[in-house]
Amino acid sequence: MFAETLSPDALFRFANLAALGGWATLALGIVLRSPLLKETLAGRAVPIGLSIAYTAIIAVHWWSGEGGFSSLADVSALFRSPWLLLAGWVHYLAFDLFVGAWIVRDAEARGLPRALLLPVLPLVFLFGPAGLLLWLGLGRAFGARLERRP
Amino acid sequence: MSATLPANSARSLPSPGEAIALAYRGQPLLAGAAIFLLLATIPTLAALGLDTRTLNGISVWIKPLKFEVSLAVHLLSVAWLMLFLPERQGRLVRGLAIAMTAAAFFEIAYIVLQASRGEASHYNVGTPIAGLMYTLMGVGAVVLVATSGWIGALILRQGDTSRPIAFAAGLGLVLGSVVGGITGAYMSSQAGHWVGGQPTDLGGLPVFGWSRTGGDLRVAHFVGLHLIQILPAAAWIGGMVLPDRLQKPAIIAVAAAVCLITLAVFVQAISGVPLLSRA
Repeated sequence: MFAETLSPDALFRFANLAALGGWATLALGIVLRSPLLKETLAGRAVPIGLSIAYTAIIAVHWWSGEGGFSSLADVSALFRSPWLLLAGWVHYLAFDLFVGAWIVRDAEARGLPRALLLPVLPLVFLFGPAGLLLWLGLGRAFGARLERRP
Repeated sequence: MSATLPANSARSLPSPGEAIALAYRGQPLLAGAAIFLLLATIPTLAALGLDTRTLNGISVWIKPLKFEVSLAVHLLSVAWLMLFLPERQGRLVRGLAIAMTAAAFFEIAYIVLQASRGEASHYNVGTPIAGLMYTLMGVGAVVLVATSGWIGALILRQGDTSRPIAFAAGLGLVLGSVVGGITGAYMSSQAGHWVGGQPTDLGGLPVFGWSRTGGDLRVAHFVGLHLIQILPAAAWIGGMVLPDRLQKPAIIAVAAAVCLITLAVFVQAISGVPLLSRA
């Protein structure tokens, strides 16, 4: 197959491109109010693609790595393998986008104004859990006032 | 009764969507497990594309891929054939489906784990644990064929076997399980499935990988197990071209022929002769 020519660097660039495309699709889907863009493509297809890549990388390279999950030194040893470092990065990309799309769905389900997403989604994109925290905090603080339940 | 198939099913083939829906109606657990195994081929293909490691000359991921597809075909076939059981399925039938699904998932889980580690699953007795797991894989395989044969027997006993296709479904499951089981048991009692020839899948028959330099016990196992699909297919064709009184005799004749072919390719393999030698 293409295994001989595929380097972790090449796959890294490709995964970044896919994630960036996913986030752009999510933003466009919000603006255009398109379920196809924000739910099917950004919320499902791209995270699934990234998860397939992650699963394959782990399945192929996990046993050749050293270290593990039980101490910081172990995790550091794990990430000395470029393939497992790549897997860790793809893990971020997949989960951050999935959480971003979930926040968009959550906002819609609760009838919250789209403007709230403006500070949240960039933060999820850059610093996943901080963005999630911001969303949960905003939702808790303003949710009850702003929600337009049908 | 087993009148869950549309009346015109003897002639028209269902669309893929209808076929899947029929499988879920036949046995939801088996159908779901089969669809899951087919979905699992996607990450497996991704791993195949990423991995440079080989076992016996071919990528370590070929074996998981083959077992995902073949177990999916098996589970889907049994789910479809269970449409010929009486509509209300009791505890026994559900128990058989659960056991079959559990055995299939156990086999594929260990095959994938070993591929991921770059090691053999079948015939691997290199360590006590690997040897134990190989034994357990044998137990799993026995569960797979025993439950299949049992379901076949239930179709023959409880199904409407006045319909040739229902008769073929039951007979195919019983015979396929017996013949597939015997050939599989013999194969696993040997040191490997190759008899003479080069112990590699490289240069083997396309798709199947069967040896072209020596005997390969997988051929007989394959043909024997596929009685499960061949007999209902033969009954379906027979329903279109044969008069009623000849339909069951034709099914029995096809069954006998496939058993003979299995025996022939089995003898061929234990004699160290490839199914098709290299040109």
